[in-house]
Amino acid sequence: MKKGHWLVALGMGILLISSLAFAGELRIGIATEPWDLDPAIRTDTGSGYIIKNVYDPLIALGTDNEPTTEYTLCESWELKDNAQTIVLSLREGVKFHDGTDFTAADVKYNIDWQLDPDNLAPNKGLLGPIESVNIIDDYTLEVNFSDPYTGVLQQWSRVLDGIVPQWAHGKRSEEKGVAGFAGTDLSRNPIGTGPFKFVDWVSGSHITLERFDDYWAAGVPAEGIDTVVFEIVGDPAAMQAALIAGSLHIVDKVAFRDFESLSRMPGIVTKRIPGIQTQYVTLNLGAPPFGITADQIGDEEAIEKAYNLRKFMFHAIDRDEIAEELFYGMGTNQYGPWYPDSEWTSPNLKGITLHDPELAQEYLTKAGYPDGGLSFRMIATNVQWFVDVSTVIQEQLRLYGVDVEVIPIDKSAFFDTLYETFDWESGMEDWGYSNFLAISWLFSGYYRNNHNHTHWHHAAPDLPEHYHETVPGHAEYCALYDEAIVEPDEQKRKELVWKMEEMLVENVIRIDLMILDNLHAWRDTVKGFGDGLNSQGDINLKYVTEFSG
Amino acid sequence: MNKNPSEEAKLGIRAHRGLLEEFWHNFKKNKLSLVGGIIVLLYLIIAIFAPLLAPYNPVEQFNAPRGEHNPLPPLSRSAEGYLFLLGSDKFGRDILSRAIYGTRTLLQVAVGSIAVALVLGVWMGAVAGYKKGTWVDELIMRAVDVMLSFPTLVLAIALLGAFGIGKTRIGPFVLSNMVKIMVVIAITYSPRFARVMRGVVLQEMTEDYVDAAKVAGASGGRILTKEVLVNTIPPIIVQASLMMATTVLTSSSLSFLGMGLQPPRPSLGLMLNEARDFLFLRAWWYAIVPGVFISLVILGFNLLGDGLRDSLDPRQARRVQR
Amino acid sequence: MGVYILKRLFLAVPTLFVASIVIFMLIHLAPGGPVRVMLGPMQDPVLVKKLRHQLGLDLPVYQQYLRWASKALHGDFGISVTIQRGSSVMDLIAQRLSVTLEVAFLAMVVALLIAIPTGILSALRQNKITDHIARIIALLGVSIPNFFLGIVLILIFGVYLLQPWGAGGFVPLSKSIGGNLIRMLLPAITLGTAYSAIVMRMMRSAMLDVMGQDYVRTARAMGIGQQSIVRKDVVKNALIPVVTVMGNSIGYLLGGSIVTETVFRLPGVGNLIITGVFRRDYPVIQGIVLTIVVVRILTNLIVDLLYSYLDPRIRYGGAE
Repeated sequence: MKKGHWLVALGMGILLISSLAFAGELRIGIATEPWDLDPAIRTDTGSGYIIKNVYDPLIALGTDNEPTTEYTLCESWELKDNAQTIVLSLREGVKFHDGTDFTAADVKYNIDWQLDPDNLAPNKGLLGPIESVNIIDDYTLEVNFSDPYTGVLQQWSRVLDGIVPQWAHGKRSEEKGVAGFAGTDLSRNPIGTGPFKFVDWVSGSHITLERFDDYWAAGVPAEGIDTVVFEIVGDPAAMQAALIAGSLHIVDKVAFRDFESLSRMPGIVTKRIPGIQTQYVTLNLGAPPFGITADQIGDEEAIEKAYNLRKFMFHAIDRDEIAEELFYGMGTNQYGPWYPDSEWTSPNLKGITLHDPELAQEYLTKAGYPDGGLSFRMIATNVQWFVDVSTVIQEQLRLYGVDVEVIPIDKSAFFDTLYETFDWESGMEDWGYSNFLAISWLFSGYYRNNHNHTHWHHAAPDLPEHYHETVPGHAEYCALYDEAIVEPDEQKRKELVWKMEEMLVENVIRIDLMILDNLHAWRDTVKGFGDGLNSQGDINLKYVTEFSG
Repeated sequence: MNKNPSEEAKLGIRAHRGLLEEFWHNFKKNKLSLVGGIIVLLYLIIAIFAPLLAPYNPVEQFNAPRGEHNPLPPLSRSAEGYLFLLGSDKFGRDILSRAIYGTRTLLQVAVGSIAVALVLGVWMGAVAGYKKGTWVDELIMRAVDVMLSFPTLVLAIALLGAFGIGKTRIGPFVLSNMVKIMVVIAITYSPRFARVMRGVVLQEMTEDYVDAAKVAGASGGRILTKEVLVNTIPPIIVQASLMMATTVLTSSSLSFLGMGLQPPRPSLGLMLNEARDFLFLRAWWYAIVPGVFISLVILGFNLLGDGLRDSLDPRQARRVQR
Repeated sequence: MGVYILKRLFLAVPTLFVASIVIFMLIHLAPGGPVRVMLGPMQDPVLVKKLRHQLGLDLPVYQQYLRWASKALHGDFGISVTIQRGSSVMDLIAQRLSVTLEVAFLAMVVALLIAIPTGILSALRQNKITDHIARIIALLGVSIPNFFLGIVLILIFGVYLLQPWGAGGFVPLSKSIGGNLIRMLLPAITLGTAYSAIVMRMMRSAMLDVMGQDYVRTARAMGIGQQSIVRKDVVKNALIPVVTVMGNSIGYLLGGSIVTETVFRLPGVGNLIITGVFRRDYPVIQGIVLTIVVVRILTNLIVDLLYSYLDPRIRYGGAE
């Protein structure tokens, strides 16, 4: 008996201790663990959350997705010579966490380091056709391009989203164990000019930042925040529970199913904004049933059959049902490869019929499967969400007698299969438009390049050997692009882009389903957080004005 | 040692019959193992007659009524008016039907993997035991050591990772995803059969009747198959029935971790995995139903295995303990 | 005995060697690879090739293995490539192992607290109602899968009772001892329950064994009170095999930790394996599996030795 009492007392004690809040500590729940905190080489969202707060960007995209200099290291810019030169005026009086002053030399170092081919910077291509980087004075930098680079501000907002001090990347070495690729000096010890300094990173658990009192902008970091802890929580359900219980103040994502109930909770603020992620079904155009093999080039019958089956897919998939069932209606159907409400989306595409069972059946019959009998694989990234979308599509197609084998595989294997083999029929993934330039997406997704994941291409000397001409139209498409990219008149460029989009939809090169909304939630003790939210879903604490535990 | 071979054969038969009688006598005395037997029988019936027992097609997705959203709680109806006795899942599929078909899948995988593991393990163990002390024995037992040095789940995860999900073509053979899972689980469990088998063979080899057979001039292979193997059946059956429980656990753990079966095939482990996302929406049925289905079948096999162990071969009882 | 230990240790070397080859082959057989993970959505083939070269992934697998093995022999397990880039695998494993070991230790405490008293009680009241109930509960304990028990506990404490510690998650010891312990409670119960059932059954049968032995019966006949017999001799003797077999449980607990850590989202070894497989962090998977294998080989050896010590009837291949 005595022992029992003692145990109860101990339990109560533990409860008490555990419920004590840590004053001044802002706790943020994130879904995936970051893996590299060097802005020049990171590629994942998780690392981005930390980088946004430890570093300052050179240029950023505002909440309207237009370039802005709010909380950036560039005070103003000037585009000259038909977008072949950009002159940047930099902010003065900015200090890095290591105490050094920020100058134009740092920016030049950032650009040069990524341009150096030995450094294998993954986003190097976004820097543009840089010819020279000249330091005019400590706070003025001039960059020259060999060709007009109209998208420079958009692209740089991603590729230069964290400015590091000169020489901070350190030297790369191949001696660091068998891995060789050990990242840079900043990978685990980031140094920036941002409002928070890096403290520690316990793998699988959390990352701690503390306030940087010498931050250049007044009122940032906000009163009341001493430390920031990014907790790697993993599943969204638990994250929400912690937010409701008050042990987290901000969560990076809210599950669609929980958004409504969460927004009715007292003490919790929610915000829903259109995101940048498109959910798509990709079809392998380099092999039947949706494409043709190298042997079938010119075989009208095979080409026609593949076309009918792609059309069938386009009309058989019921996007509204997917959106309703899995995303609780919080998505926007796409009528083509671009944002449905953008003026860069062809007006001819807006509002076209998407789901149409009769039309679908018609195409299926034309393809020679009047009673079904078609079967194919759909590979999906092994994340609940993609597998779920595939499962709903599988069920939708089952009603036509079409048998879909859903194969969940991890991302690594997904890309390997997609990019290096013809051994797949369809795939389910998402893609984030990291900038807001339709034409740049029409290039990377469909143009004659070496990372085209639908296999829509034709043979060309500069492409991998196994690439062959697939369904017709690719050469015309590329010609349209070549015309559009040098077209100086915006309206004419737009019309060319529309034409390309129409081509993609008419031929069903890829099925873009919908763009999902980003759902955010935070406790009302974090004032101002919502003002910094943009469609990229960043966690940007610079906008927080007040924090009260 | 002085008995002539015919007498010896008679003895062998008698011992055999005696064993069976003894088994049944012991088994029916043990009420818990009878309960286990009944549970297992019920599950077998569920698995075999799943199409008759399930109210709906387990992959059919029904719509939730206006203003509501799947998963729906037990006893609610879909927009079309279909009754979900034990609720629906996130796609609007009937949980009861999925649990019934999921049971079928689970037992298929479990029985299949045990069968493959038996074939692999018994063969390895018997040869090793018979060739005791030779390099054959050493080789087999070292291989067994290597396999046993990995935790089952870790080895299974690595194997599944290497093979990938979906059909695999090995030369002219096409392994379906499910067969692959069976083989993977079988590979991880066969060493245990091998160890038990080797131990039993070693023990049997010291028995008088083996010597007698040797004296009578029987060949090694004949002794192994005709004399020793027959007598090793009881402990192997005990091991297999106990192993059924752990195989069910392993295969459902794998699907819980999202490795293994493909959608839309109903799988109890995967249902539990999906249910985790809906815990905080208080969709308790989503997790409880498949969980109870899995737990009961494991309980059934454990009870049955315990009973079999006690009644079939008390001598082995200690050795076979987990 | 000494000869036997040496022989076993000597034999463990090839086991370890083969095990490391097996796991190396398996992870390299899986499609994809770390470079795909590193690069995110923009998979420029030129960059893919260069990175693969830098990582040595373009070499034949046996050469990669030799490169890895020669470093591993010197205790260098390499560097994480996709989990925490640049961290030494050893540090990463040590960090994660501390969490797993804490859960395992607490689970063992939970198990012993439940199992030993119940086992003793059950044996003393053999075939009475208490015994039956205890045995049925024990069977239920081994029959409920970890992941289901964990979910039920989260459902009860996290969802319906709204306890912040009931939803899983991790608080480092260094930050708050209380916060850490309370969050470890449910995982420890989850992992400990099935384990306690096993220990309880062992305890019971060991007790019955010892109680059936002559000296106990003699003592009883001599009129020494049941209570004192139980306390002094029977429990002590019964505990020996129990403790021995518990050594074997390291493997069980490590295996169970994968599932338990997934359910409660603890940053332990199990979680690291799963993340490692998904992100194709070859050096990490390789290092962690090898660590587990070494631990298992050593514990198996110790358990075998204890067995032979306790039960001299078991002899080893004529070594003695």
